[in-house]
Amino acid sequence: MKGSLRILPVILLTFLLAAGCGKRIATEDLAGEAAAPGAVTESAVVAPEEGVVSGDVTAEDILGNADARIGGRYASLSPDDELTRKAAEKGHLYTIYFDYDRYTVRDSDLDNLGKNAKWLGLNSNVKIRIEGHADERGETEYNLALGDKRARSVKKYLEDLGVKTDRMEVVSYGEEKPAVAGSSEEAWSRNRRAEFVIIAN
Amino acid sequence: MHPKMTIRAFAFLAVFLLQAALSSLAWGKVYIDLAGPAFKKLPMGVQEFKDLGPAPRSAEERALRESVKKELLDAALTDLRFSGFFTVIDQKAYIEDAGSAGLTAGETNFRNWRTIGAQALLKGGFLVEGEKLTVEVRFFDTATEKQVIGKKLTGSVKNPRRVVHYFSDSLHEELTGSKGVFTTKILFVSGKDGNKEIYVSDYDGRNAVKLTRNRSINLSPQWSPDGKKVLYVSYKKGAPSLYLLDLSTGRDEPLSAKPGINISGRFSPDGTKVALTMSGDNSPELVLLDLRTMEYKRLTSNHGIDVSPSWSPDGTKLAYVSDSAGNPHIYVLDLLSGKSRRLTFSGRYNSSPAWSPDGKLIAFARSDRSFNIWVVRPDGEKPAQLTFSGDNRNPSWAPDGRHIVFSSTEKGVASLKIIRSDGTEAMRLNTGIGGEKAPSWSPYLK
Repeated sequence: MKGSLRILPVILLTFLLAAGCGKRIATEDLAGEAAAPGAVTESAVVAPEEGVVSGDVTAEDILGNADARIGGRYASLSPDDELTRKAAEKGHLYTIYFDYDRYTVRDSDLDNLGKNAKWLGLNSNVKIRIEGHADERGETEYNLALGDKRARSVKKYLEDLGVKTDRMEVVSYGEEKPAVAGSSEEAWSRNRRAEFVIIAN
Repeated sequence: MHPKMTIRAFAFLAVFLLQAALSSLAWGKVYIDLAGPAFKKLPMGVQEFKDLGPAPRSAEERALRESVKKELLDAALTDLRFSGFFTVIDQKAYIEDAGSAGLTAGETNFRNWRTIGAQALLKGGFLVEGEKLTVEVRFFDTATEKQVIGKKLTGSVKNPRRVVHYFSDSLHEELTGSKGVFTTKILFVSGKDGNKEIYVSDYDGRNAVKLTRNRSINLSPQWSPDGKKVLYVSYKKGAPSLYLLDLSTGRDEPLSAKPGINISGRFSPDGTKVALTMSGDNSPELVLLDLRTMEYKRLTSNHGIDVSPSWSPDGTKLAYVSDSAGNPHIYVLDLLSGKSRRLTFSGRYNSSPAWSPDGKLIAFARSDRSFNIWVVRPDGEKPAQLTFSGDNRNPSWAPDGRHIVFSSTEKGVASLKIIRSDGTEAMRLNTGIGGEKAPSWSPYLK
C-alpha cells in the first residue's frame, strides 16, 4: 500500500512530462509496471524550468543519474540536501513564518524562500499549493484574508524569482488549521505561516 | 399590594380605564416603556403546567407527559427571565397548590399570590393527544385580579418549548407594544464533532440542529433578511467559497466561488445584494454581488485587508474592518459617495462590526489583549465597553435591538452569551453542542 502511494506522484509526474515535452509515454504501461522500481526511477526525469536552466537540458544532465537522488524523484539543490528530502518525505518545501498581523516576508525567511524558488526551478514539473495561515488570536474572517495575503505575498516573491504563476495555487486557511495546538506565543509564532505543499499535478 | 402600585409598575396607557369601562372583559394595552430609565423588575409567580388529560395509561405515557410538563415550565421561566421585566418567585414560596387550583382568574385566589409579593402570575395547562400538544397559558395581574392575556396554542409533543415561545411573543407584544424575539433563532459554528459545521438553535440555545454535514470547514453563517436562507463560507470544494442554503427546501448551492477567497458575505437589508470579501489574485477587497444580475462591483481598493461588512438598516452604508491604518479598525463606507470614514482610533484590533436594527449603534469586538464587545455610534461618538472578562467576539443583534449574542471564551472553553444592549444581564446559552462560535441572530421569523 505504502509503495503504491509513493509511486502515484511519479505516474502523474510522468504524465505531465509527457504532455509538456511531447514525448509519448503511455500512462497505462507505467501503471502496469508500477511495482517495478526500474520503471519508476526512469520516469522521474524532470525537465528544469525555462530561465533557470536551458529548456533542452534535463535535471539528469545536471545532477546525474536519477538513482543517485534522494527518493529518486526530485532533482536536488545539492547531494543529500534537506529541502529535497523534505519534499520527498513530507511532500512540502520550507515553511515561511510571519510576524503577528503582518504579511510581508521577514528577512530571516528570505534564504529559505530563495531555496524553495531554486528547487522549484530544478523540479519544473512540480506544482505547489501555497497555504496561508494565521494564529488564533485574530478574528476568523480577518484571519482568512490575512492568510490569503500571506500566501499571495510569498507567491509574488516566487514569481519574481522565476517560478511561473500557473505552477502555484493559493489557498488561505486562516486560523482553521494550526500547525501547533496551544495558546502560547510559541504556538502562535509557528502557526503564522505559509506552507508550500507539493500537489500531484 | 395596592392596585395603584401595579398601575405605576405596569405604566398603563391612559386609555386603559376608558377601555375597561367599555368592556370589563377586554383588557386594554398594558405598556412597559422599554426606553424608560432603569426599569424595576416585577416579582411574579409561575405555576407548574397542569396536565389536563386523563390519567396516563402507561409508564411511557407518564414519562412523556412529565417531560412535556418540565419543558413547558422551563421554557416559560427562560422566556420570562429573558424579557428582563420579571423576577420569578421561588416555587417553594407558593401558597396555591398547583394540582388543585384552576387555571382561570375565577378559579384563582389572588390573595395567595399577593401575599407572597407576586404582582403577576402565569398559569398553564396542557393536553397530549398522540403527537398533538395543546397548551393554554394565561398571564394575570394579581392586583386587578384580571387576565392580561390568555392563549390556547397547538403544537407538537416533539417541541413543547416552541409553543411557550409563541405565547411569550404574544405576551411581550401585549406588555410592550413591540415584538418579542422568543421564536427567533441563532446560527452558529461548532467544531465539536471534529469538523466545523453550521448549526441553528432556538434563541435560548435549545433545540440545536446541525445544518451542514460536509466534513470540511464551514464558517460565518448569516441569515437572509426573510430568515429563509443561510449564507455561509465552506471549504467543501477545497477553497473558501460562499454557499447559500435554503432552509425550507434544503437546497444548497454555491453563490460565489471565484478564485481566491469568497468570504464574509452579508445580505443587504432588502435581500437583493450580498456584500462580501474577495481576493481574486489581488488584495481581499469588499465587493457587492447583485443577486439579480449576478454581477460583481468592487467597493474598495487599498492593497490591504477589507472584511466583515455590516449593512446599515437603510442599506446605504457598510461598516467594515480594514487594516489600511496598519492594524484592524472599523470604517464606514458610504455606498452613494463611495467614500470611507474611519470609525475607531483606539484598540490594537477592532473587528466584526454589527449595525443595530434601529441604525443607532454599531457593535464590534475590540482587543488589546483579549477581545471585548463594544458599541459606538455610527458617527464614532460615545464608544462604550459592554463586556469585561474572558474573550468576547462576533456580536450579533437580536431583531428587537435590545439584545446582543456573541461568542465568549473563558478558560479555553467557547460558548455563546447574550447580553442586553447596555451590557447587563449576561446569559450563557446551553446548546448541548459545545465550542459554539460566530453566532448570527435571525430576523423575526413570522
